[in-house]
Amino acid sequence: MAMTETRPEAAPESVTAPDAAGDEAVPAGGLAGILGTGRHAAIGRLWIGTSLVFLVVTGVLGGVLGAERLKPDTYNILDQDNYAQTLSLHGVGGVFLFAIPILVGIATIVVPNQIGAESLAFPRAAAAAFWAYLIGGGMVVVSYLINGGPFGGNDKGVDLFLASLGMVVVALILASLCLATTVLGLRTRGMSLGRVPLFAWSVLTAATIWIASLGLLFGLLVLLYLDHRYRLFAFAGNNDIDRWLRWTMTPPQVFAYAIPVLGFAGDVVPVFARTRARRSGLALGAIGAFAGLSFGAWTYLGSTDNPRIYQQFLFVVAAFLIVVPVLLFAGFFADTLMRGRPKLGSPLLFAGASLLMLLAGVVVGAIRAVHSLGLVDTTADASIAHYALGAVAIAAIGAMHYWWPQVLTRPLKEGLGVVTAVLLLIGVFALALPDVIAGLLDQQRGSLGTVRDGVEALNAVSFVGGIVVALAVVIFIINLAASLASSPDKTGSDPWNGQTLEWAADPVAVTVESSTPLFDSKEAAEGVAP
Amino acid sequence: MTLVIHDDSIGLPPAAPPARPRVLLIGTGFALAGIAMAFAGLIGLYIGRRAEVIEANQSWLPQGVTIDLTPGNVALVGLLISSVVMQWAVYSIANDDRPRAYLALGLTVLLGAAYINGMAFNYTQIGITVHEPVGLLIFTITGMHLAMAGAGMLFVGLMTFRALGGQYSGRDREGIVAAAMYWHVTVLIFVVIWFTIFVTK
Repeated sequence: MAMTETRPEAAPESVTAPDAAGDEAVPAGGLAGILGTGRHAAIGRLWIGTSLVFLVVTGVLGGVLGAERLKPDTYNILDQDNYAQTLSLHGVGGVFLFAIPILVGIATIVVPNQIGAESLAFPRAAAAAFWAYLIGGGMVVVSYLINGGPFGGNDKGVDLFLASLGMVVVALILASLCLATTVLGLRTRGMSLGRVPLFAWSVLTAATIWIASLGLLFGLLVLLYLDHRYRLFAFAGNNDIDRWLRWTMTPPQVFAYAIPVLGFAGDVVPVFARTRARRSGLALGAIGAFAGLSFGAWTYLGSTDNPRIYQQFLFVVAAFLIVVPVLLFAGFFADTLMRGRPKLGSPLLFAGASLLMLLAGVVVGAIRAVHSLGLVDTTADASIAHYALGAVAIAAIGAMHYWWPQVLTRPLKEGLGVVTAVLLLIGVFALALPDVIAGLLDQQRGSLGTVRDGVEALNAVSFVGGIVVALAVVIFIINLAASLASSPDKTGSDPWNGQTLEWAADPVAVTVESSTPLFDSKEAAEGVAP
Repeated sequence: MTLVIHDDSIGLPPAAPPARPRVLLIGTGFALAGIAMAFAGLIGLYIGRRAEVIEANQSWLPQGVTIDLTPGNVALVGLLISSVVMQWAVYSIANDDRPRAYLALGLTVLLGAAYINGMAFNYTQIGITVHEPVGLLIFTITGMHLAMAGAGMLFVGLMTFRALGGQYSGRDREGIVAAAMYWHVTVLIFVVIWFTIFVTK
């Protein structure tokens, strides 16, 4: 047999297009380079940039809503319909156009490097997912502008909203599928699932939950679209659509968007504690349990056909149980800090702040499940969403500070990062906490009307909290712009002395024997027994 | 004394095993999970609404409408046969029996087309329109399943062309197995639809 013959099965399996690898491949320039890219880093940056634009849109709408609620008994800035539409876009934008996409973007950049993969699985599909998100997200906003969307008066605008949201949902499912497949199928040699870095693990669990729950949402959107398109209105009159979407923005589902928050915090803390994380199995289990308990698709009929679901034993138990994995994870976080020699850095502040937000969110979620308090459909729902999505925003901005060599290639200023983290911590608490108390005082979520004493003051505090959050976001954007305008950094690709594979010079070439290969090699060089 | 044989056939390095776990297979599995959830939501809604109507002592189906079991049975039997045939394709490619694999893959696509044709004919006979809630639910669920079956035919067809082009063998049959998994889940979902809509009316 001649040596030149190659058995068909001997050829290495290629899952990527030739130019679909990481940054090593020479990209096409200009518009063609952007439109045709299959490089995971480029796709991730597109996701992040677009989601930040939607964050600004959503934030401005939140500011308008906050100003309107300063006098909660009458409509001053908006009329009743506009208020409901603005609130709806604020929620839809916050979840589907900002929170999930920004995490997808960060994961698209970081996860392949963390697990030693050359690229994302199905890079073309990942690129298609982004473009579908961009077009669909833009159309969602346009549908509201033409008086469509939930509570809209323009039927064709409502049709457009349902179709474009369906497009966004498909895009998010596709992107999640690429991420989950990457973690399961493209890990480097020696990296068992137990050795996967916590962020990659959290992305795997989150993507799984997102695929399942958004799949169900897509089916509903098809039904609602057909119902509305044929003007039957058996399910989705213009004023009913919001109720069909409500389960996606309330507990437990709203926590599903924050699963990667735990992974980010878990990866950051040992690096800044300058020690090896103990009980990482516990952290993996806590993230898995949190993900499982945050799966909220089973409550999808709670706002339409079966409101009693919020009183059922399973719902109440799940609402309380979900606090446990977050507490366990907080214990893991604190334990790692106490065992090590902590150094302060903005990523650690972001990690701690996001974990605190999530903890506050699940605690309020548990309180909401106590039926006698009557918190369902009050502003407590908004409070929980602000805690959960606030945790996402803090973690996402923190992730950009932490993984800047991969996300930006140029560093963000540490001082501004610390200020951003502190302002976000204060701002989100001030934004969300008053809404819980206002909920206890019966302030409704979706409309204004006569309120009890004290609600007006609470709304004012919440509004100030929103302004603080906006200030923090502005500082971050200035920091980001300054970073992008600066010359490429020369300090190296591992500014924090990272422990996981993404900080290696060539992650693909490494054979892994633990979840912290870089820490191992450093210990080995210092002669420390692992 | 050591005997050294200089022979290219012995010197050839062993073939590398296919990468595991298989990326296409995993991706298909995740896609199927999302699709299954879409149907779960709609079928759950269908069952819930029907239970409410029956509890109120009203008729679920509009007056004069009956959903005949026969077309549903025909579609079910056709799809079950297609599932067996698809598995035959996997078996054949696993044994490097390419002619039979091509035949089985082609038959699967043909049976899929027959299913779509049968359901389209059934739509003309069923006597319900999309302009009533029951009809809207039925057409949404079965219509989405037709779309799923159509996508499955494309998937199987693509894998057939890849196989015809020389890809896949007994050692690496990932694409065929992934297409088979998709097809089996398509059939499984129809079994649920058949029981929910055609049997327990």
